[in-house]
Amino acid sequence: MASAPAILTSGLGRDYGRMTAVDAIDLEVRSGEFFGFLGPNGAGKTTTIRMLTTLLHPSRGSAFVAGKDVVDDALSVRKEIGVVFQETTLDGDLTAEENLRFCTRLYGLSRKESKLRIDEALALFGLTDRRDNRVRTFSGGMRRALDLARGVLHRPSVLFLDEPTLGLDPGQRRRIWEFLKRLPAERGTTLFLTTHYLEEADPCDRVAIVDAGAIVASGEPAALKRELGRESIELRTERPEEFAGRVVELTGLEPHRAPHGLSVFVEDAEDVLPLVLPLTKDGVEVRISRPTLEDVFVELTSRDRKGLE
Amino acid sequence: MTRIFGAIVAVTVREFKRFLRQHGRLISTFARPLLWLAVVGAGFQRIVPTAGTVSYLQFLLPGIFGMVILFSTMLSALATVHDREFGPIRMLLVAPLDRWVTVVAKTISSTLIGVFQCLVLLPLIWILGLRPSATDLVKLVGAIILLSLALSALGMLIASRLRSVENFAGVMNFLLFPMFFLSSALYPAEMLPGYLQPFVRADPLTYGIDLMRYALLSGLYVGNFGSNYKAPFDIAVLVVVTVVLFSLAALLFGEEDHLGRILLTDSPRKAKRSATSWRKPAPAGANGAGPQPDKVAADDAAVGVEAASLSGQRR
Repeated sequence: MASAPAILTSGLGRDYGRMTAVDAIDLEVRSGEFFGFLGPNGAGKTTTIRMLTTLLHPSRGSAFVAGKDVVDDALSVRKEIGVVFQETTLDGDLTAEENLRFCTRLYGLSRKESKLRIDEALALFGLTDRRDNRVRTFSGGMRRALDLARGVLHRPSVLFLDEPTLGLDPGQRRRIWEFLKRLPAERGTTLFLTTHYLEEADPCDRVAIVDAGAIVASGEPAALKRELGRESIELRTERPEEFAGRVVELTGLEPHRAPHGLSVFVEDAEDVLPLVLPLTKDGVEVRISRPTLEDVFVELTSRDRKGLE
Repeated sequence: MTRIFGAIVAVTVREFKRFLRQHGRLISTFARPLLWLAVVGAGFQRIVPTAGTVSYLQFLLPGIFGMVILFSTMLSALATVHDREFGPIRMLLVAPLDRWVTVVAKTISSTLIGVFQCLVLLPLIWILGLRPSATDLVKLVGAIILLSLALSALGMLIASRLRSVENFAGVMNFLLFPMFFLSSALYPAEMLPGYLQPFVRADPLTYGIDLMRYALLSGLYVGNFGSNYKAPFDIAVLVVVTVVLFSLAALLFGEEDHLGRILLTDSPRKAKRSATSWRKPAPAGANGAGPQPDKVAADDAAVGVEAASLSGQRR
């Protein structure tokens, strides 16, 4: 039998007064998995993370993290988890090193072990020469890196990240992602992250898309894209009507008019591409358009919003 | 155990570093009592009638110590609210520590900072012409520690109920200032009218300041500036206040429901009810690797079936 899932919830929900923030969430995240929890702002992502990290009692349903009940066995859950909050938890009046030491003290690490890990963490994020500077003087990216360093300092088996790259520039984002992507393989850490930067969720093993407090889709990013988005072949030309007939001839598929010329929706672009290649001789530019997670996301979450407007 | 001790050390070290590094706070901490002594003391000196050899400023000094402790501990409480929302307290809340450890750590650090400030101001005793014996000084420091503890516990209780830093202005107006003016810090308590006397007696600061006066002014002819109560009574009140308020704070801090970003007003009572109506259905999913609940009541089972079917839908 496989080891216990890192996260297991059923019917997990939370109300704030009469407002339902999270309706009923069923999740199963395997140990060592990189799991993305996507959704628009206000979808209930942060509330879910707060329930899973024992900060908030669920109103209904159950949740187990590392096999432990988040309500009845909160202390055991907290032993297993690391959390990187959306807002920084660093103290601006303390130095980078002092902030990390605060954390190692909470986890009862020995002085020696603590120094070792702090040195390692600072080096890993390129902050060694800033160790004695107050965090107040750090840029947003450096703070985020330090937050992350702190979140993994005690080697949690499940790491929760709430919008870990919010407000970072692309270079900083890439560095943080490179670190995160290595964690499951190197330390066997399970990663559970929320984001609304959808392109970032591509490296996830699986994602769940949440909207209005409920999961609307889940699966591997590639499978979700295949399932919910549609691949198409774009034919760029100035004279679409001239080629429409030939496309039907070649592929048996009806093309659609598009701003750039013609588009053909297909099941699998690789199968159809060779068929339309002869058109390139006549000056038609051919390219494959693949759906992004963003397309899937907008497709899934836009319906309700339209109703609201 | 190491973790509990570690948490107390971590929080205390941090609070002291912060305190010493925030220069504005540091300056105002020490400037405020001096300003009160110099300006308010000089004015009241002419109003408050004295009948004894103790001067008004000598009478006022324990009140100033009380004020320093009151402001310091309330500021610590405010910092706790802020920290829980934005700062390192959240690290404590997700660390493998019971909630009461957080309350202990914050109470101790708040107490020590209050005591530290008073110790720095101790030379005022001699500047104002008092010559206490070593025993009296020990008694005074004991009183300072006791009062700091009681007010730190009060601060933690307030912090456990406050949702945001903004609410703190209300605490300032409706608690901090009345507590100070009713405490007999500025004038003998009997000068206040009878209908205020119950409030004077309900104010923990009264007993702390009374105890400090007992230590500092003993053996002098104090006239109407004397202590109102016997020292053991003061001590007993402060100890009881500390224990009761601390227990309440530890209990309420554990109720995390108000920690969520509350979008709509969510009455604590309602939140508590929803927390207790929380049930533990059988873990869903066919692999059955999750821990099994020992007891599943009939209605729980229903919830479990519902959850399992929901989960089945997804698979």
